[in-house]
Amino acid sequence: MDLMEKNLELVEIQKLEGHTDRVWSVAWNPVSSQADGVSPILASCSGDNTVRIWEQSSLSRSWTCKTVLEETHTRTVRSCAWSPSGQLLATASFDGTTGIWKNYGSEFDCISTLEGHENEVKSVSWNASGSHLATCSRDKSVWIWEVLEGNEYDCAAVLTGHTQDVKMVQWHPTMDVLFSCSYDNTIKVWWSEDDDGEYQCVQTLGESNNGHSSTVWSISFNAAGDKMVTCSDDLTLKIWGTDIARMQSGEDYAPWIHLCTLSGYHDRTIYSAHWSRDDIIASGAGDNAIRLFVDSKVDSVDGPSYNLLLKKNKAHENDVNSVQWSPGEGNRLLASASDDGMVKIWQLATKP
Amino acid sequence: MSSGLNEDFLDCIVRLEETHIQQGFDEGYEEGLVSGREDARHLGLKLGFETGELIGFYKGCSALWNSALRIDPTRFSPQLHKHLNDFHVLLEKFPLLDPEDEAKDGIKDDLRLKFSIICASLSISKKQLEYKGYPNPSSNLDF
Repeated sequence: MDLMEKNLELVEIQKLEGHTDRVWSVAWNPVSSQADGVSPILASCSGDNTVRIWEQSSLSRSWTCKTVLEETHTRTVRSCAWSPSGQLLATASFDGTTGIWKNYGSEFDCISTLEGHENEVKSVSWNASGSHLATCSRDKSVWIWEVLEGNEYDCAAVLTGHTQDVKMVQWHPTMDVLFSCSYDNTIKVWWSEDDDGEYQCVQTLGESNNGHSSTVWSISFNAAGDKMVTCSDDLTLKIWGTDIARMQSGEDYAPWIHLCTLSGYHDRTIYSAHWSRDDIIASGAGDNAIRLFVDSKVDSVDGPSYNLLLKKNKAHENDVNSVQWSPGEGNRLLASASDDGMVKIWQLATKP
Repeated sequence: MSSGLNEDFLDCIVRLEETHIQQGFDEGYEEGLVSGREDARHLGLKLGFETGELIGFYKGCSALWNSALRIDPTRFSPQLHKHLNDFHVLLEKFPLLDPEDEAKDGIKDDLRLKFSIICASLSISKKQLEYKGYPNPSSNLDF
């Protein structure tokens, strides 16, 4: 199935209104968005200090706001992430705290607040098993928290190394390796070799490794975990790869190397990139557009190359801050969040 | 020699303005030294007090936590024991009597971070402990 052959378009399914300020990020619930017979759930977080939970009705197929998580964060909620079990939602806020919310059916309760960062928390990410959380902040540090019993969270590690604001943290999809990207133009890889909780920075991907020449905003892994895409203020997307088998065998650290740079496709900062399960990379940029890229599958000595599958101009009326593919199989749904205060649900479909 | 004397003789007329400027400068400099020393004394007292207040606060917290540790060592995780020990070592290392020591700011930043980690590990809010006037991080020039 060669996607480039098909005549595909990104169709706007629905526009979710409700937030009263820019929407920074969206997150699909990993469990309910995949299981059959269960309605997909999406969380969105905003400059209006709240998080909204949206659910698709199984009858009408339309999306409504199920609940609003408010009166906890006192400033912008910049990022949100569901735990792998789908039971907990972590919310990272400019007020310096990270909220942990538990899903009690129709209501969400804030069961814990993680404090420690000096200033704005920019991103939060759960590891694959849900045993640990990572947060990062403008204070240049990355904190790792351990999930304990009874809604308790312990500070497991504080990682310093970035020389500027850390924009995003992302755990590897299968292994306990943490990635962070920053305003200092680098991506750092953190790993605990003896698995004893002592995390070290094992690699820094900077300009000398064919890295970005400006702020790196976002990191996303493919399903196999052997490739990742990063996007930047330098108007490029970069694809990185590693020898995943070597890493998984546990012998030693397998470094990430630059595979490919997608340049010339964007003329504004790329704020978000997300790699779908069926290998389509979506990007959201400061020109209000969403672009989709696929592997050209051309065998080349120089490594993989990517083609632009389609570009959706004016996807939003302002900067696109976040794009996220639904984890569900087969439906190819994409959620996007923007400075225009909207969340949109899109479907990648064949043109009629 | 005589031409040298002539130039000097004329000089004091030609350079009259310069002489006045120099005199004014010298007087101002002397007065400046006096008021400058006074300002420096006030600034020194202020900064010295703030540093003393900060280190005293940290030492108080450290002493309290270490006493709790002595009463019941099993209550805290080994990781926390290590953090408290690191905190104690940093405090001992702080050059309290040498304000010119350049390592001072680095140790202050490490202390601040260690303090945050210990509070987070104990699940207590830093804000509950911080005294009024607890300083902000040393490098605030972020955008």
